[in-house]
Amino acid sequence: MLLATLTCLLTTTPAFRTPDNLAVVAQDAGILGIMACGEALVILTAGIDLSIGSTLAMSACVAGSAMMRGLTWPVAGVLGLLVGYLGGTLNGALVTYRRLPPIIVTLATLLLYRGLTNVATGAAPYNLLPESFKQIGRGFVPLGALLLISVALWVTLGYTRFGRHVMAVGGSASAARLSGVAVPSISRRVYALAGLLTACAGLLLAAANGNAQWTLADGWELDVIAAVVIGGVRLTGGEGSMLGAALGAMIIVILRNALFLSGVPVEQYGLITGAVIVVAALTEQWRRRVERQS
Amino acid sequence: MRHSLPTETGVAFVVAAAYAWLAAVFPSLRSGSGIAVVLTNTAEIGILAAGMTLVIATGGIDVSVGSIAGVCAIVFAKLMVIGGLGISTAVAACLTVGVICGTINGLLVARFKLPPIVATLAMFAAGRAGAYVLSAGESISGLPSVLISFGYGSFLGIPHPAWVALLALCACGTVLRYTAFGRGLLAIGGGREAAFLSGQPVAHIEALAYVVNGLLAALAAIIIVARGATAIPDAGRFSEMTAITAVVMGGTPVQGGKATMIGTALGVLAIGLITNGVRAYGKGDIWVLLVLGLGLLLSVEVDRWRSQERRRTT
Amino acid sequence: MNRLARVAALLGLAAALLPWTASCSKEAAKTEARRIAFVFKVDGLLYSEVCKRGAQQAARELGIRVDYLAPDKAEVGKQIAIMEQLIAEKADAIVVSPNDAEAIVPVIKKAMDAGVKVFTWDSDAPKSQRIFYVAAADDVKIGVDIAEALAKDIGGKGKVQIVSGGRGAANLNLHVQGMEQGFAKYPGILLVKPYIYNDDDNQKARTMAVAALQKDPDIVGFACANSPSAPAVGEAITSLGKIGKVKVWGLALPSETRQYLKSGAVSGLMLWDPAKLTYYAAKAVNDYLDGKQPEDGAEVEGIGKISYKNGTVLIPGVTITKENVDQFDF
Repeated sequence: MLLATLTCLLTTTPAFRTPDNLAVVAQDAGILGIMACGEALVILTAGIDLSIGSTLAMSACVAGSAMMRGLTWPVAGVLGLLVGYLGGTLNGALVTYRRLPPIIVTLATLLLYRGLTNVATGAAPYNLLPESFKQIGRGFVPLGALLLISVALWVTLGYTRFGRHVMAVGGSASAARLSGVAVPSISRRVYALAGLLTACAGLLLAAANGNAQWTLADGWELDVIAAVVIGGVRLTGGEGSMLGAALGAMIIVILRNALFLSGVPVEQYGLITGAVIVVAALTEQWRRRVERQS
Repeated sequence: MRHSLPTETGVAFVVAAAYAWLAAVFPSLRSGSGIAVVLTNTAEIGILAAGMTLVIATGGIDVSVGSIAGVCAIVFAKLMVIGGLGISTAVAACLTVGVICGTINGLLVARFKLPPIVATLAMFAAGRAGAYVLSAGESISGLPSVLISFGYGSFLGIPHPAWVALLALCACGTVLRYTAFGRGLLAIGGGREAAFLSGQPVAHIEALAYVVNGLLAALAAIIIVARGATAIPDAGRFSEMTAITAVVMGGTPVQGGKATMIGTALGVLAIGLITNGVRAYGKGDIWVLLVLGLGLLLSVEVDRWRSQERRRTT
Repeated sequence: MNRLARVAALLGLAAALLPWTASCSKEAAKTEARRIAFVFKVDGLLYSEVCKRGAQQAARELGIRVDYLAPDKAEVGKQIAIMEQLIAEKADAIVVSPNDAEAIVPVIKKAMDAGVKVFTWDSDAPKSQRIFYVAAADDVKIGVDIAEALAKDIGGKGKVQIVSGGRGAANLNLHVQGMEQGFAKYPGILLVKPYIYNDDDNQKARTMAVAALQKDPDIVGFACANSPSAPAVGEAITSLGKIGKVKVWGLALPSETRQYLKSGAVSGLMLWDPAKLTYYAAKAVNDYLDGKQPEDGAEVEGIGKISYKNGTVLIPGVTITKENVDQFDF
């Protein structure tokens, strides 16, 4: 489906072909795709993470403020990643140690992380970032990062013990427990990893925009979940792939770009996005039914 | 079981403590008008939370109610201003649009078996877009002044919007507790297979929950429009999250199978009081987000603690 | 179980008693102080934070209580809720920047009927009973100004893209309307349709600007109505290497846009100092409560010459460009 859309766009819309346009599409898709990979991991274990947009802003702002205070960008970047990791760990801890429902925990941290970032930064933008840092968000770097990450995760899921355990937890937590999988520890690591990936996307986004501010990625959690759904990951866990999630993100970004280039008024984007979500979800369901019957 | 605390304990405690605190610090909350403000300001969320409780009872979720309210508000206003229809016809049309949106959600979830968050996410995007397309992004004003007198009037000292919310909560509470439909909702949340095997029309009941939710979203839209005699395409934006928060704070578990409308009503009040308090202290609403985030975690934590306590006492 | 009930009861009692005792001493003083409450469009924006600084400065200088409230999302319904609460709390005056000029009218009437004086600042509600409106330019006029500055910059001809934030944001729609009026005077200028609406999202603002330049490579100017747009479009133009070929004018804060102004990616901003605007609004409202009307043509210290006509108080605005951007600390 992605290939078909791409070919169609490449041949019919000259504006889509321009290197500059392809570069922003790649940039957008890379960033959204990395977030989608993190989200897909969580969803594979039958959890959900609504807080990723807020986690992204929080980690990007920490990295941004560190850079403005004169730290070199790799150090600041590591700080940002650390914050994302900690944010994810807190989500995971609340979900596992306290046994609270993931949707509630991450709804709460969505509010908390965003609010804290606003209060801590006083809404100020961190926009005097070093040129060398901004380079990592330019061109095809984000897309490259996405490819690297999704392939690495794909290998991890398919060929390591951790990966098999993640799929097992999502398939059935109780069956996984009975077969000796340490379910809480798997869940915790998955949320932490999602936080880390989100922070990674946050750094790329701040670099691409040349600005880290508390409003970054506000409301993106819904785009990301849509990407995961379109990518064929089952929301109740246990089924789906990282590459699917990454492709789902690409489809969303390309769709948005194509709508814009073809001059569709912005009011109608939502109607089309909604239809695409429903069609993708229905197709996926149909595919699964056919598979089960054969 | 006789000894265990009712589900609503946690949220009732929050409401009592928040009220005691705020009434002590701010004299306005000791007066009837101060309390009336809290009730008026939570009416929209109260109406949405009533329907949301039914959906969550089935183990589902509906993130589209804010968008449905948006499109209903625009339809309502457009019919009166441009279509020249009377208020009662416009109200009926508005409620119909809500029911249609709810039916689409219900069909996608119950008939086509899409996960509720996916189906309603699509409606979340499409509903808001519908409101923008119909209104071309502009707000519609110049509605009959009867609406204003409804939106700002009161009956027996309680503002009209609060009456509507109260009625919605009572009606949904009665349905949940005393009707076969309500018991069916809880049965689905408790276990779909078991509900199906015991002969419940699972698909019908589940779909109907979303239809009712759509209807209530339309009702909320009328209240929102009445407050300004203006319909704004952004009406009801982000209110779904607040409604879900109220339901969960009230002690209804998101896994479904159990639900308490009294808890939801208290949850709505708790949010109203917290918001009122933050503003009374002269702080911007970002602080409401922070306090609500903590309050949400606290209330699920209390609920967990309470259910463990019960396990120990029985 | 009993233990639980006891703990709960004790906690409840403590929570109830604590503020009672604390408030008894303060209460007398509190009811005396005059209270002016600002109700802004949305909490947490940088612009809003700068306004808040002005409000706080006024509170210190005038010795009154000035609150600065705002909803978490730019929604008029929540502003109505805040105003209802302020009426019940018997604030002396409310100064509001409404998200919607029409929907706010009934609650302003309710406040005035209840004896709470209502004013507008930053955005107006001309059909309401508000006493006066304080601004540097109204929502339409600022759009006209941006359009004229950009039109001059591009020599009065070529394709121009208008950029805004939320599709339903009433004040932004008014800015856009002003831009249309401004550009209508230049027959050589062609407006690219549809306009860009980027939801105030940094990333969307930048990528949509890049895409717009692919769709219409002969765009020579961007007119930006919302504050995240000008810096984001500036970044887009920088990354495409089109500085100087494409001009950008908009409404944004200098601290967000400084680097792009200096590099020439953004030509200029039409603005005012939000802190000074809010500070002056607090002072003018306080004077009004003391029985003093604003005076047309008066020279106000630190603000400049004000004009007062038809219920509108205008303070001088500024055009911010490369040359003067370093004078501004917001």
